[in-house]
Amino acid sequence: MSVEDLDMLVTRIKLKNWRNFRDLDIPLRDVTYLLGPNASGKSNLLDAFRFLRDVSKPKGGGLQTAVADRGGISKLRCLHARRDPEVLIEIELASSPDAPPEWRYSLGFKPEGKGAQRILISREEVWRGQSRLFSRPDRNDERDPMLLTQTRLEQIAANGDFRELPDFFGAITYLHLVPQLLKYSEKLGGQRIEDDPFGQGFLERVARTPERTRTARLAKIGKALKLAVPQFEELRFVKDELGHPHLQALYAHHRPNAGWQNEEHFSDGTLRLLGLLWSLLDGSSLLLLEEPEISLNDAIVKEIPLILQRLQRDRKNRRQILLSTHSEALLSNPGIDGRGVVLLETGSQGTTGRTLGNDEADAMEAGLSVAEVVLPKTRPTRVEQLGLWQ
Amino acid sequence: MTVLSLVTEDVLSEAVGLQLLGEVGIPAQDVQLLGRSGFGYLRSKVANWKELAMRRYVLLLTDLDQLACPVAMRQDWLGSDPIPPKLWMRIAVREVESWLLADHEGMRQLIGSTGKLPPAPDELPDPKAHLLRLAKQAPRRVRQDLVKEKGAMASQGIGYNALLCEWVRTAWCAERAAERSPSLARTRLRLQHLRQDIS
Repeated sequence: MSVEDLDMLVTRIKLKNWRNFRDLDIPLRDVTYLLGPNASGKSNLLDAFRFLRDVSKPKGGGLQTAVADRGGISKLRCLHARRDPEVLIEIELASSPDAPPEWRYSLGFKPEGKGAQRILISREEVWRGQSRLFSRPDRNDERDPMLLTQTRLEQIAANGDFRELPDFFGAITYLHLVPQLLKYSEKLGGQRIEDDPFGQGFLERVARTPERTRTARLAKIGKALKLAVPQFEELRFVKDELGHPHLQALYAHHRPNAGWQNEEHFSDGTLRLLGLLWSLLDGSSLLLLEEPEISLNDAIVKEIPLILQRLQRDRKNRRQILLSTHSEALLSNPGIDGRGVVLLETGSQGTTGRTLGNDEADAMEAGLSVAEVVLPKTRPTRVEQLGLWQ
Repeated sequence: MTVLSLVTEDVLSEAVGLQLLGEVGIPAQDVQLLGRSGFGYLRSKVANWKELAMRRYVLLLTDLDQLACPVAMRQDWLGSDPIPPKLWMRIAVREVESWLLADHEGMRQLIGSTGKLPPAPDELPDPKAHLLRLAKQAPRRVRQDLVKEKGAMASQGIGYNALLCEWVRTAWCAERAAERSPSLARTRLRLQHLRQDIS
């Protein structure tokens, strides 16, 4: 059974000592909006999912690499961690947001404390429904402590009974397209981050998609751009003489025969919207979106929640979405389900997270939007003083 | 340059306003759109709308909501000072949704054949709630846009404004609706006068 058929979603995440979260336990829904002040750890929370993806990768992944890629355990572990040095991530998966968990995966690790300072697994468990498939460290691990340097997620020989999990984690996608990186990709040279989170290689990603799928997706995206971008007429994919892939657009205001414009002439907003729509259509596992509102006009941003919700209704395209945002426009629709809002709050003990309370539920059921009820809580208390800066 | 400013509290009222202006021969490109930030915002900016109406035509379109009567509301908003002649205020009784519900034929195209449509929508205490109740029996795609998901912490569906605005532009007929909504009928008549006044 492939992950596409499973239709699973993450319904809960627990973190211990992960970056700025000493202790976090929050539920997630089909679409979850992650709110919080600057530096409250929204990106760090998204990174916990990317971490599981990196651990699960059969090629070039694994626990040791995933920790090393993040600058080692000292960068990963919460500064507020007390005596307990363990970093722990626990995930529950279910078929729908309110269903009991079908899977639970928990991974704890800490540094060896001596010698090569390898990262050793302090706990690894997989539960299927009510039954525990295994719990580590087990007798084999005691006999051969080297085994504790690898999770079972990353070992194809060991994860046969729960292949769904590494498949699901491995397919988690994150795209935070930075238009400048795409436009100046050639000038900036070859250096790229694994999995290309910032869209430098977005065009190659489009190029690698089978032609029929690509054409269908671009036609669909073209329709949206026509509504959102003034004068925009048509979108197409081409390869230049050197075989480099390009996206091209036709605009109505140009002289007839002015020809097609390459992506380097697209506006930042056009590229951001294009990247956003592409990522929505590309894949079926959890999609992580970081501040999708950047560079986009408020009128477009306002429509994002409806786009996401309509996607959930379509069986073929539905996928779970976790997005962080600061945007008043994005949260102004009173139809956004408050159950899918997670608010991060900072304190002396690191960041904590919570869902909305009864008072907030009352306000939302009375017709107020998340922007009105929750967003003010993410503003720093004395922020108006910032204007006096000199 | 546009000939008139349309001031509304949300996108749905704006779509209705544009439709009504189109009817009297003022196309959307001749209209400056202002407001859209809610009832309270509209009320708090009354001085600005009056100021603006010293220079150009302003159509202020709002909902009566739970207030007793349009005359009292006008008095409350605009005060007793002379009102600039170019300021035209129209009030939907009680909400713009009653104007939508008043077009039964258009409504049937939207929500299908189930549910009884109100014969006198201006008399409904809460037209929006009424529309949402009717929408619960609508075909799935329409229902999912208009009504919140069961158990959701929200007041309406995410697609409420988007779908109704589209419907107002393509299916809603103000002439038909005016037969059942006296407040809309009066507004249509006043807008014809406004048109004559402008030209």
